[in-house]
Amino acid sequence: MDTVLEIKNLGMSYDTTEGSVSAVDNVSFRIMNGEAMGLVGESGCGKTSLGMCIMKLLPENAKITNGEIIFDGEDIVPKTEDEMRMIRWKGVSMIFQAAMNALNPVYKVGDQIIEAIVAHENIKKEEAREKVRELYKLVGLSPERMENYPHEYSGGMRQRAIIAMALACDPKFIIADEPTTALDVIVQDEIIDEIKNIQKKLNMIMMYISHDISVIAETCDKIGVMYAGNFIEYADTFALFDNPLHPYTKALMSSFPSIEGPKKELKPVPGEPPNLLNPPRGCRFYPRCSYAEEICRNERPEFIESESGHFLACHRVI
Amino acid sequence: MEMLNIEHLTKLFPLKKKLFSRDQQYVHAVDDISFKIEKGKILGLVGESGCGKTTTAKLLVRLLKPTSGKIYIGGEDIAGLKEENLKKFRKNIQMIFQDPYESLNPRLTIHSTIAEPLIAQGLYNLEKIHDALEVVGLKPPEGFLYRYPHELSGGQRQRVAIARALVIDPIFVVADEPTSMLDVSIRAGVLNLMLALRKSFDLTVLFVTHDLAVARYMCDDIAVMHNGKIVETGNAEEVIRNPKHSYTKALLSAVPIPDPRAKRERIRIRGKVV
Ligand SMILES: Nc1ncnc2c1ncn2[C@@H]1O[C@H](COP(=O)(O)OP(=O)(O)OP(=O)(O)O)[C@@H](O)[C@H]1O
Ligand SMILES: Nc1ncnc2c1ncn2[C@@H]1O[C@H](COP(=O)(O)OP(=O)(O)O)[C@@H](O)[C@H]1O
Ligand code: SF4
Ligand SMILES: [Mg+2]
Ligand SMILES: [Mg+2]
Repeated sequence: MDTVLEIKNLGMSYDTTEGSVSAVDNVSFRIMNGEAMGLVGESGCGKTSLGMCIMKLLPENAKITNGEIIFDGEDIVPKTEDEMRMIRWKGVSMIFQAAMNALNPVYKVGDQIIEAIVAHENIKKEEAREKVRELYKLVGLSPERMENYPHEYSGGMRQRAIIAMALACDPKFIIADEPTTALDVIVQDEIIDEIKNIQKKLNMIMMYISHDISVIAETCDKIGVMYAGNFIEYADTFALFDNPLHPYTKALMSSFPSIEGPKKELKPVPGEPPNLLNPPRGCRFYPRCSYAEEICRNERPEFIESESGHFLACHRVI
Repeated sequence: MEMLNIEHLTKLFPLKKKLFSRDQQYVHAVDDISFKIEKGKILGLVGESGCGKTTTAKLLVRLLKPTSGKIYIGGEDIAGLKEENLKKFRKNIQMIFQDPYESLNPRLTIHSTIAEPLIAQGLYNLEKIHDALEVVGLKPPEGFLYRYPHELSGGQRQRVAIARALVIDPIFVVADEPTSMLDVSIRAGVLNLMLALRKSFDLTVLFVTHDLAVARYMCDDIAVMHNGKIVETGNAEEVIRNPKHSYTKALLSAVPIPDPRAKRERIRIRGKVV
């Protein structure tokens, strides 16, 4: 299988008045042709920031401090904004967190997607309109709905339209950032099903960001677990569920209720994630880890392949 | 003993009249529902967005006035009571809201937030506020009293909301999706806290959620709501393992399972294209 995306030692930080926030630190992973990767971790761990690095849509105060983002054989880190404009939409496209609330209320939804296509592809408006009709069918919306305004859509319909927009220029890689978090169970389930089918059908690679590990279990081939800006475990979905190795991953797994199997007591991870202005010097999970040893306090564990295809950053397991 | 007994509870909201139309149309937000909760039990009210859960919750604490029906709390019907006669009940019934970011007044310190219901009942006592903060795990209380909501994390805010609800020793608590805005790791802690409090204070709870896995974890019984009606009630484990109503089956089939090997059949209750 070919590698479509490879991230090597990526680091990104935000400059703030209080200092530098290390939001993505020493992250490495690859996504192969046709694969969906799930990215999990608690709020503030850097999931969206990582997505924004790959899109190179960073705010003024953010900078990529080191590493490479090799997409389709080329490192995009040194690329200029002009070059990125070519890559965005057609190469990498993103379904932004809470984007369904960002549709412009005064324009028809269909027109907003048509505009996006015309701005990025060299085609006429009428062709673009035809394309949007096809996209609507693909995401399970009736094409007549193109004539409606955002407030005439339900939350689920708006999210479908956002997905259609992200697919507008036939990207090879799609980043979906919490696409169902604001939706209720039934609508969430419909959207997940839709995204999964489309990803397979169009043979895109996908990075699916969610804090809900059950959603990831159902959608993704691989799972990356982030903690305080670091990748701490990365493996095949089955391997990660059958044999989670990192203490944080194990803790995360036991903090989810399920409707299946025996009823188990939930064990929340004690404490809070560290302040990324001044993260712990050694392992960033050290203050909350029940397995911590002296070395964990002082030395950052390296992210290495501990079993074939199973990557891990922990002193104890290796 | 029944703590709560509601009978034929109904709430209609008038719709805007169409021009030249003579008939007033209504949304049947809560449509003739009846259920009971035994003292010390947790009843889960589950259903998809818009089915009427929050309206039900607000009726039970009388933030809304029912169109018709009865709400017996400890034997007395509060459905028709006027505001001035509700004061005594306000002490016994408390509500915890969905969004900890909206439900706390940003201009009030934690101390003032928790003091508010005490002052309303003429029961202000600093020690009680200390105790309430300790009970919800915000220790030491002095470290939190004079902070503002924006200086707390989401989980801490929801703990403040719980402390505020418990500080006047209610006998019945209505919790409307108290953890749906919280991160998973924080959510587990807040759920465990509510279970522990129920045990130590023998609280009766109506727990509103759209997450069936959470309902299973928290509740003794479950009532499934659909289009303003209760379509199924029963023991939580029983409803989840053995759903009887087709809507309950559909709802259960939409719940993602934290196990990549689990295969679930999706039951669709709507057509595919919307
Ligand atoms: N003040 C109101 N005026 C008019 N209609 C209302 C009002 N409040 C609620 N409704 C309607 O009543 C129905 C039930 O609403 P409710 O908010 O109780 O649902 P819910 O189950 O809590 O949904 P969610 O999970 O999205 O909060 C909906 O159709 C809603 O639009
Ligand atoms: N524009 C910004 N300026 C400063 N800090 C930021 C900014 N955006 C995010 N951060 C910080 O970066 C970290 C990761 O944030 P984010 O990528 O939003 O995480 P997630 O999506 O997992 O919730 C957090 O500590 C957050 O406070
Ligand atoms: S490196 Fe040490 S502190 Fe970090 S997760 Fe492993 S055992 Fe825990
Ligand atoms: Mg995010
Ligand atoms: Mg609600």
